[in-house]
Amino acid sequence: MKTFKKTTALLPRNKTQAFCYGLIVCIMAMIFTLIFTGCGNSETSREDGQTTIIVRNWNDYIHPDVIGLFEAEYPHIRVDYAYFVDNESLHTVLSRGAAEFDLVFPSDYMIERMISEEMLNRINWDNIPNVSYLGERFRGLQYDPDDLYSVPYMWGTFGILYNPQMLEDLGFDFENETVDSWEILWDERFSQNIFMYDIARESFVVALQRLGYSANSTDISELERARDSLIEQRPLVQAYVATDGMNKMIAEEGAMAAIYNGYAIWAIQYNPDLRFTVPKEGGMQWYDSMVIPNTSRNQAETETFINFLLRPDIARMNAEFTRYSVSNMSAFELLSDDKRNDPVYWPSEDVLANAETLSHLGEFVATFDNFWTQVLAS
Amino acid sequence: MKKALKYAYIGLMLFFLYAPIMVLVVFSFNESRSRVRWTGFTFDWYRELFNNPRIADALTTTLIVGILSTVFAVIIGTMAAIAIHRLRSTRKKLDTVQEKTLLGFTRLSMSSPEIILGVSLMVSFVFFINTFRLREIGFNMGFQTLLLSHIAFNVPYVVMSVLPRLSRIDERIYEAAMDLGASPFTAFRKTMLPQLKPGIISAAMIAFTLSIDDVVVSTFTAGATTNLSILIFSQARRGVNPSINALSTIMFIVVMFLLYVINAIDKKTKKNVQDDNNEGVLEI
Amino acid sequence: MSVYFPPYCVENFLNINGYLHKAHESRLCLLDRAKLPCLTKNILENPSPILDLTDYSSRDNHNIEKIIESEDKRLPKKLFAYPYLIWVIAFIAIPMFFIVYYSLNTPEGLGLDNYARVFEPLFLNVFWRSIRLAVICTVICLVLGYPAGYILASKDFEQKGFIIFLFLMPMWMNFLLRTYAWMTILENNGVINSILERFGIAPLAMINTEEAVMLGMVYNFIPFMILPIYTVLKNMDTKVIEAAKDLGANPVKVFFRVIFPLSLPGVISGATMVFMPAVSTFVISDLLGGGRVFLIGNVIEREFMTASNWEFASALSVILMVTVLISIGLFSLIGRRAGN
Repeated sequence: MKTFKKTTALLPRNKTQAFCYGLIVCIMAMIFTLIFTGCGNSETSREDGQTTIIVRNWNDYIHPDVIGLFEAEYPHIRVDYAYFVDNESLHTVLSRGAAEFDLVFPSDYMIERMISEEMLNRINWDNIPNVSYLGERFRGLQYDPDDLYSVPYMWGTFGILYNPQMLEDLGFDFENETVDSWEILWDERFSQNIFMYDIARESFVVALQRLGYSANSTDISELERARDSLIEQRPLVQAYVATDGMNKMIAEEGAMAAIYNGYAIWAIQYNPDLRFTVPKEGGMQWYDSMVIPNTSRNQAETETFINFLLRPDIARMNAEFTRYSVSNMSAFELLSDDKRNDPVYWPSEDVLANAETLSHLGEFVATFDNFWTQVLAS
Repeated sequence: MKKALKYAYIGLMLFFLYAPIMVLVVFSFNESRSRVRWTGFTFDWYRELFNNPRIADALTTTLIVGILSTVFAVIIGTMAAIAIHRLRSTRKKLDTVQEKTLLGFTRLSMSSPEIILGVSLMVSFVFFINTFRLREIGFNMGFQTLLLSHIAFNVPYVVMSVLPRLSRIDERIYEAAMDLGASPFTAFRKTMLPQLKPGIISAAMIAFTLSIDDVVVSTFTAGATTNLSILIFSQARRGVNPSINALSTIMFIVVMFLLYVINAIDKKTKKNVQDDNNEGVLEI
Repeated sequence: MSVYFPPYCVENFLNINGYLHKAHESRLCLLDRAKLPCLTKNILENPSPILDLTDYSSRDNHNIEKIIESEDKRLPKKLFAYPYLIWVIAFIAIPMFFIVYYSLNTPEGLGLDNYARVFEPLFLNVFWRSIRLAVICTVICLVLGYPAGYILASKDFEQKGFIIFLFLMPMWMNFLLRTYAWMTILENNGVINSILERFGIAPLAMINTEEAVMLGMVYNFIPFMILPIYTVLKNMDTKVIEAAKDLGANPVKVFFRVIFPLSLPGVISGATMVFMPAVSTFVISDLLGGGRVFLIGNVIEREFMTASNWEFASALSVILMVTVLISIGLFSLIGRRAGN
């Protein structure tokens, strides 16, 4: 009885209290309306016949005009385009259900992982007739051998970008030495002039290959030795950077960087003194492909967008802007001669034969992350 | 002599505070993308800023979230402050317990580092969305969660700003007004609200600043949405687009202008300025 | 706080044994007799429920309280308290609960495995580095910020209230961009080094070091130190200071014996507002540290977003939270001790 009495005490007993209650209810209602009708502009919705697809890509990975051109040609599709920072955080966000995307551009090993974790939708190739423009060598890549889930977008290599003048000033003897090995990144002469990549797998590629192991090694002792060598290297490294390495090399903040060839090309364009090479231990070749996560609700529209990106003229625009190599062979034909013949841009077959592609480490991912945290925290 | 020293010290401090901003402004006119080498003067980045839909989108989101979260936080926070204040004035055990709980949690939220606020909200949102399949009703990790998170971290600041004010004003005027026949709401509006206004305004300013400047909570709870801070952060490691420099220059000019306007208004009611500064301290 | 009683009841009210004691406890106080006449008029014209206490004896004290409360015209409390309680539970308590829950989540059910990992030397090192940097940052902010607050509160600046706004205005500019701008200034070929070069001085390696991160922290957080100190100093009763001066103390003594202790609340407030974000930052160490300065905020962010190891990251967060709460407690303890 007592509790009943207490609850009835909550009921409004006169007009004023009722008014106050009303005010509170209104405010709560406003908040809930906001929540459930979603007044944001990034909802996948079908309003007025307009669909919005949510696309997440690497930074600077598409020509700025492409989105506008697409929306002009397909007025009923709106593209919500923004960036993701790295493969791992993309995976976290998707696997934990922290966001919904229609189209993303992860890298080879991450696609392999996503396929194994059943996070992707199968591509309906009927909606993508432009697939005929893809080069043969981009079919059946190792992470998606039957071409069920991914559409190749860009590819390239990972190697060393260096500044010969600065190296010479620091004691490098170009007569007797060449820059052709990861070993140079551990050279004490260049202490504080070295930039490493700030993502785990890339840095471990460098460390593992230098020790003669495979970049995809799952041998604990090999991984441990690689980790230790990275910890050893730490005092010599000026910074662990991603694309910013490109800016830093242009500005001559350091003498060398482990970096992707696209950024290298960009850097060389702004600072012609720089050089890029894929080291003899193999280096890495990588592929970024377009995949549709299983959270997508607008697969058909997404495939229309993919198709658009595969159009030779569009692919060429992207290639020229990003400085990365295209998988679209017709686009390749449209590129300028010096680009096609640039070994940095389009490496020769021998280089590619030697370069490793990253594959998914399976259960070793956790150990791997752990080791990387140990490197960073040391 | 002493006066000169004082001026010099303050001047140095201000120089230290504004140096990076000046650098941003200068390099927004730089011809090349480099943020270090000056190659030439250009307005290109400003042009690109206005043509760039991503930046415009992000900016709109930031402003809308800022304004909405401020408004909601002020309403909820003021109500909360009134509640806590009232609970304090009685000796009933239940009320004291309630008051201590509410105040305790409010203080806890204010003393939590942003990263903890961000991850805790993200984790709970994700849990609820996935467990109750809220996605089907349209509640998603996106604008809504971003807005709710911003309201969530703003409310404690409003509460802590309004609460000291409440204890200082004389409630008897409110009661007298009601005795004279006013309804509680009108009485409140006419007697107490004007006295609370400085506290509410300063709370609103704090809330707005916190919201538009927020990086950490936004990165964790924005899901599919992008706001200005997220946009810049995702670019910061990769070479910030100089259009962002242009944007910050414009923001700087706008804020300077606002500052001038506020100062001009304050000159008319000089006492309020000093009052505001006094009341601006938050109880921690 | 007042409750209305019809005047003819007042004597009876006062005469109720024991109730006076109760009244004191519940902080009810009676109106001034002087005010009664005008209120009487209102009450008679406006017959709202009036208490007639003549029939109540002291044994009904409890009931009296309830009755008084129900007629209480003060601001509605239950009205606002319960909605806010719901809000607090939904947006503060439940998220915290989830963090704790995740932190206790192990493959075998609930357990402390994640915490065990937190206490490995590797992570303790990172914790220690974060705390060390935050403490140094707080001290620097105090040393540099106190004079600023003092000067701003002094007579010379009395007319220049807007200078305070000038100190706060950088906070309206985007935090990321301001930090990013420091990269431009500190880089090997950045602004400072370019100037040094012109004078023939060797360049300094400033970026990507702990010092750079420290600079970034001080830069971002010093306004939080200056503002409370300024506020407290401005409100300080100058009479106390003048009295001390009159008693013959020299300026230094006046400062250390009178001014500084009185300004301690502001100092503590500022220290708390600097230490807390400094110890948990990851943006500053990301941008200015270049991956070489790994702080606890970075670990947590990495574990949540990159490694997707939410369980371990939650344990780290809980420990960080506890650290922050302990330090806030410590600060206020120091403040109270030193104040005495």
